[in-house]
Amino acid sequence: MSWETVIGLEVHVQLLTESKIFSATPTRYGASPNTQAGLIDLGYPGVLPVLNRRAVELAVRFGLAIGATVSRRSVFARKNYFYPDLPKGYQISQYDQPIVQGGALEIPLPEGIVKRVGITRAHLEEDAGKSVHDRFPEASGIDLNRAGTPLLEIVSEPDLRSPTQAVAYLKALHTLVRYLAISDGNLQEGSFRCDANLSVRPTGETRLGIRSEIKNLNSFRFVEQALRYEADRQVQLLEAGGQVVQETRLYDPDRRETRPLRSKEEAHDYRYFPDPDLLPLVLEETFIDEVRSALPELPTAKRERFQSAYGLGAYDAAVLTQSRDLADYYESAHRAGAPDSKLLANWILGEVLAKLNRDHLEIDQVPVPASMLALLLVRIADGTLSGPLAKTVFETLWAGEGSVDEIIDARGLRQVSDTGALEQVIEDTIAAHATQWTEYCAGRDKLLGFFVGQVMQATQGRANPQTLNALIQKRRERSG
Amino acid sequence: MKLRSRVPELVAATARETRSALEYYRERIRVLNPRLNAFITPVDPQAHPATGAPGTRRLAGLPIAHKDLFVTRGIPTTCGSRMLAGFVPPYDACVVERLDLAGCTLIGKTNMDEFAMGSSNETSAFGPVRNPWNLERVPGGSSGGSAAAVAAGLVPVATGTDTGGSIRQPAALCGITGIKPSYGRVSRFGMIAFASSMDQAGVLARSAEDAAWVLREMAGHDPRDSTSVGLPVPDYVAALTRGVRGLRIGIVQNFFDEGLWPAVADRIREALSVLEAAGAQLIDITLPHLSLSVPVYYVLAPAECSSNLARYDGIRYGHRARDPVDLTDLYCRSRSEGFGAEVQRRILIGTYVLSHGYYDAYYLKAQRVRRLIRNDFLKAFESVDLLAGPTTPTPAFRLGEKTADPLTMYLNDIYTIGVNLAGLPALSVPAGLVEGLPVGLQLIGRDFDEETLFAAAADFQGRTDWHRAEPPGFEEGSG
Amino acid sequence: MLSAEEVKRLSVLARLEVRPEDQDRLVRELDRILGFVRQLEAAPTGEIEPLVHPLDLIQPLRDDEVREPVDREAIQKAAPDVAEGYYRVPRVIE
Repeated sequence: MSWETVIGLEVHVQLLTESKIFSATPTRYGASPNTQAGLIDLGYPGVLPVLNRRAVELAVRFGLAIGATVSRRSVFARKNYFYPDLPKGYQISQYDQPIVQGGALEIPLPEGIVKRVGITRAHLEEDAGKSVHDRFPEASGIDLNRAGTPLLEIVSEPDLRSPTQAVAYLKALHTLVRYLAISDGNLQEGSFRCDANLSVRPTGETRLGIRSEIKNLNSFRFVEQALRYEADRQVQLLEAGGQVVQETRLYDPDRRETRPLRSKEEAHDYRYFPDPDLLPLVLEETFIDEVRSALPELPTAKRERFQSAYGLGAYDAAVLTQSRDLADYYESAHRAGAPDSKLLANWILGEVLAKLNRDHLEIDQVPVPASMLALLLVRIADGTLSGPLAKTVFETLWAGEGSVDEIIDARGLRQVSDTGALEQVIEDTIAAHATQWTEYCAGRDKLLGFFVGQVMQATQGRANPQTLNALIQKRRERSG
Repeated sequence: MKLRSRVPELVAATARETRSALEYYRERIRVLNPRLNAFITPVDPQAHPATGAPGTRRLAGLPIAHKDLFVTRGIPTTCGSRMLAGFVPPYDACVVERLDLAGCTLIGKTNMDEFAMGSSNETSAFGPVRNPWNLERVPGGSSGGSAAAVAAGLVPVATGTDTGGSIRQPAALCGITGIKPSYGRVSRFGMIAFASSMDQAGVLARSAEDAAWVLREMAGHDPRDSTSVGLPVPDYVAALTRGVRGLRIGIVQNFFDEGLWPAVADRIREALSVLEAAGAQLIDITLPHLSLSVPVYYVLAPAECSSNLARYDGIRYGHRARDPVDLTDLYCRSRSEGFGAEVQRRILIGTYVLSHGYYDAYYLKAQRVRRLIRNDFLKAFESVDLLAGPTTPTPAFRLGEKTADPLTMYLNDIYTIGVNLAGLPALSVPAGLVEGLPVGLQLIGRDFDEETLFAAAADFQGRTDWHRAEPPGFEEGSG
Repeated sequence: MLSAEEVKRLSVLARLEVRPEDQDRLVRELDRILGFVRQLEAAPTGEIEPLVHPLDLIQPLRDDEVREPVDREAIQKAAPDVAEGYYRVPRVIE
């Protein structure tokens, strides 16, 4: 029997605000424990939540970007459960009236297929704190700095059919939230966290199978591994005549398996009810219009524009538009006069990304400004620099040692196209390698490369390769 | 200094003779409080200096007591519970801040039913409060300490909170004036929550006049409380002289049911005739769904409290069980040791009505009936300016009389609860004695119309002396 | 009629410890209270909108500004067990 995997994802995105969703304490990551947890975050007696406008704006921005319905009226509810990292004994969340409903995300799949993944809802809620288990013997330490950080929980429809699709969805969502500047999307710091619901069913079956929920998927790689493991586990279970139990499972990246959550929790009963400390969130049209008018160009639109306006291929356009900063870098260089839009793309996708990767830098930390890259490409186009020399110059620019023309002059890298000077070097080379020259003249064409290489070496690479090639061939004709 | 000095007289006297009022009342607390147990924590006047910008100073030097549910910076705040015994908060409630800025001096935190859950002050972890009119009787609750302290002249005014009658009922049973303002009129910031959609801070005082002076300073928008309203605060003191002439007062017929003691009904009818004689027009009104107030309340208030009290887990503050073996043990023992029986009952009821499978039948149904009840009030206010009736069905009952049966205790609030469900302002004024015990006339106003309440109450008190009656043994010079 | 098992379930959810000697009394009391509030079943509410807040107001929004200073030391004075700035609890098992 063949099986179909059905996956829905719940992604918690930390919103980029200065202060918490219901209190005026900072959201900065990595502070000393409990130095960012104020009275409201700690659930002190009698303190009350007041909603952060910015968090609402960012949620609305997301809703508009995915073509969702932005609820004109949404309601905050309490989700009641006891956990040490949940100071009030309840989490303020949204339940039956979330701020964003419906909408979809288009994700690129291999072979140029684009899949539309439905978004069920996205709602605002507060984050919990953290427990640390390795600090004290037989005790856990509770750090509530993160408590109250605004989250947007984005719930997809069970539209995904493979772990690969799930990862593609997550990557598209990750790109989108950073585009929209609603989150820094930092996976290591927990700004972008994923839980998955997965079930399997015989191919052709329309009803959903019993699903398990998998938590602790903190990297795209883990998502793929965990979902593959879980799908295989369910299929094996069913094929052996067993049944899937609806449960929450934790992914263990070290053992590469999922296992049931150990806590002997009673069946959860969250007792949701509207939070009496918060009134209905009612959004005026003007508020929504303002958010809409400030929406940036979205990834799909930008990708299409990069293809049509710059004549780039689908792949190049997709990679360049994966982050807003990278796309901006490309366009800045283009505006600064980079002469060949495809060559520019090649340079960014090749040299720039490789060096960023090598030096563990992000594009917003790139040491070579876009205008400088543009000038470098101008120097290639006007014949001043050969391709290999340009790479040397780029390396020097990256190290922060001067401007393009300064480097060319200071290091004597200007390309030698002067025929007379080159002819002299060629004569010297022939004299030094007479045997090879004879063979070359006798028809061993492959030796052309040898002579080009020798001359290049003698000129420290400055010889214009086209000119050099032509001169050597002309010299053979004369010899012959 | 006289025991019966009015608030403006006290403020004026303090301006002349510094600290005299303070010393006078501190001495009375020292001598008389042991009979009443009205205070959980007496406060040294220097212990809680006001901070921040100078405020109105309209109450400069006025001694005040806060119900021990208002959080006070640097001063123990227990909420009547073992859970918070020894809890010293690093912040002030909005009400405390505002009264500090008005110039009040805090002289004590008053006893109360634990987490404001109770109608007799017997659920306090710090022992019951006694009614100054009869020490074998309860003072009412949950603001019983505040009511007893004011009635016995241990403090001229005190704050209280009212979720289902917790200001009006003890005010009535102790023979003083108590006002619960409109929901949203006074900030709930720093007021330890019981049932957030009904909790509201107010004043217990000897007269409507005194209450108006204090409420004027407490009320007003606070950005820290999302449910506090942005309306300007009217000058309640100015409203005192408006009178009842021309007001249409609806007599709530449902209140005169079989549970009401005939002698209490007589006092209330006499009081209403005083208002009529003063020029008010009396109209009979029936509120069809009012009889459902108590069951609605005992679904919604426990539901909210079960969630509001989940934060008391022994981790960040409050009582923590010794040597917990694991996390569950820490939670369960800390909470069961910290909370008394009534609080635990209500948490369990609230947990039940919100739990899976019961939410619609209990919680949601109660919220629907709640709207019917509010709609009844709104409809009544289309034809009247105030509603009136008794505050309680009986005078103060004996200590221990109703503790055996929670339900009997709950029914004591039958006339006050509807007002909280609807969010309306209401006050209770003394309307005479029954068997030597005070009873109260309750007046209910439109949303945010505390002015009319003050006008009617002040007019009534200008024509009656019940608010000047003193409990035997607590007169001037007692001790 | 409320069962002892149900009261047990509620006490687990609410993290309250019910002592065996209190259990029967508690079941009786809760059952009586729930029986009393059950009279709401008969109320003719139809689909009238539930009233959550007494006033028909909407949620105010605050500006995204850091304004509340955190004095950990002052705050943690109230805490029963802290170490190295953490609140300490018996080991959390996931």
